[in-house]
Amino acid sequence: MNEAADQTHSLNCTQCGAGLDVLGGGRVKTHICSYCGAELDAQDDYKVIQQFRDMKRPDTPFDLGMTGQLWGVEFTIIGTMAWTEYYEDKRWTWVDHQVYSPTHGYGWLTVDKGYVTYTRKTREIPSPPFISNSTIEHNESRPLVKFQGETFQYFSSGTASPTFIEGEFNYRPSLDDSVRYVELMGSSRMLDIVQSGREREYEVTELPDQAALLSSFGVATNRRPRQKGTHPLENLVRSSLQLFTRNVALIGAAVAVVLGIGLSAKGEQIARSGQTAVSSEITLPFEVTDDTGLTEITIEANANNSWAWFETELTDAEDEPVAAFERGIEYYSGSDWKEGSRKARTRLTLPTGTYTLYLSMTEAKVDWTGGRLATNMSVTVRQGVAQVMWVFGAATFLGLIGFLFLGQRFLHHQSRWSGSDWSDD
Amino acid sequence: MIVRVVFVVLVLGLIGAATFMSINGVWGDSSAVISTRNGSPGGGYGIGGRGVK
Repeated sequence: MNEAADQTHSLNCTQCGAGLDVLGGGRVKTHICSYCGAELDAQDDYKVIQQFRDMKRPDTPFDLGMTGQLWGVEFTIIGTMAWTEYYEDKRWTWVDHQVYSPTHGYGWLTVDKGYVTYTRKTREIPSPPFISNSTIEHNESRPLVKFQGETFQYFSSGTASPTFIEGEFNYRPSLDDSVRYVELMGSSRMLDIVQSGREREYEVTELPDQAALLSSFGVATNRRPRQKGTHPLENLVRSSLQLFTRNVALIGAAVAVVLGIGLSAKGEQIARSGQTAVSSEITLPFEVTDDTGLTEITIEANANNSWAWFETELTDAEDEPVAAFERGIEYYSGSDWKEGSRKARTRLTLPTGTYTLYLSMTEAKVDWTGGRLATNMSVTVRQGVAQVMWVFGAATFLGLIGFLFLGQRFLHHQSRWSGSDWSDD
Repeated sequence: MIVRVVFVVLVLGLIGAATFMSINGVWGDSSAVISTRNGSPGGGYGIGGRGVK
């Protein structure tokens, strides 16, 4: 390292003479002039190594020299690199900023889709150390990598090239570089396997608190990037009120279900006829003593692969007609199926009092192979039966509120992985 | 805090109202039942009906 350069905080470009700030510490290898694009060798008296021309400046909220804190550590923006990746007719762009901390060394801030991530290189090697294109093409499930005790799943891969370079770097970048990367996602960080020429490096990326980061670096409100979609590292964070709402709704749904099951069993049998030949009429007197709820009249007949039609009339204590209804019973079955029911249920709201039920079969027919006409019928009367539709309806409503939150988590998960280029096909 | 209390009250109110309506058999009458009582105002069944008069 040139000792003079280490002590200097600014220099003049040896190509164009423009004043350049020296921000990056003792391990800076190159300095690309912001004005003329000359790449200067920071370790050899800033001699011109090569000249970059016609570079289009990328849109980024950060400038060289900006200083801010990441997890309590102060970093300075020392370099800017814009990247482009092409695949078929698609194009992706992002901007990397090399950052420097006197205590924590070098890292990168990346601006991609409006999100700013922090990336640092690691010397630890994952297992397996590399994922080839062939593995990605032929694996039936996402390739996995173990790193620091955590499993990372394949997210994407590609080859990118720089389109703009400015400032200081701890290596020698070039517009002719081509970097192949394989990106894998863990629970809260991403692992990149980066291959450039023969060199392979591993990088760990995290998503800092965006508002805190931008404020710390002094990014003006009008320069803050507009976020597009959900970042893969963005966790779904629910407020305590949301959690409370979800939990109360789900508990309420469970309570309503239990109530519904309990109310389904509510009701008291108050009359039952014996088995009666369908050629006869059933006359069944009964007394309703509890007018809370419904009175349920259930007709039963032993139809088999046939149907039967019943007429019912209800009279009060003065033998005045109160209600009339007709009900059909049809029951069909095979060796492994059955359809219909041998019971027909009718529910009425009856005031307390004495009633008489008249039941007769009016028509029946066999319309299936091996069918048999109903020969016997019976009727049962219960009082105080509940209409459980209401409590199950409440359970459904409350359950939906709770499940909306689960749906939100599912959608968030889908959104996080939407940028992945993995296909199960 | 008040939002939470209001939400709990709403949930309890919903369950309570649903239980009350279930026990009282509101809208539980079967269809196609004809009230044949003479003078029964408006029949006895259907939406808003109150059973056999």
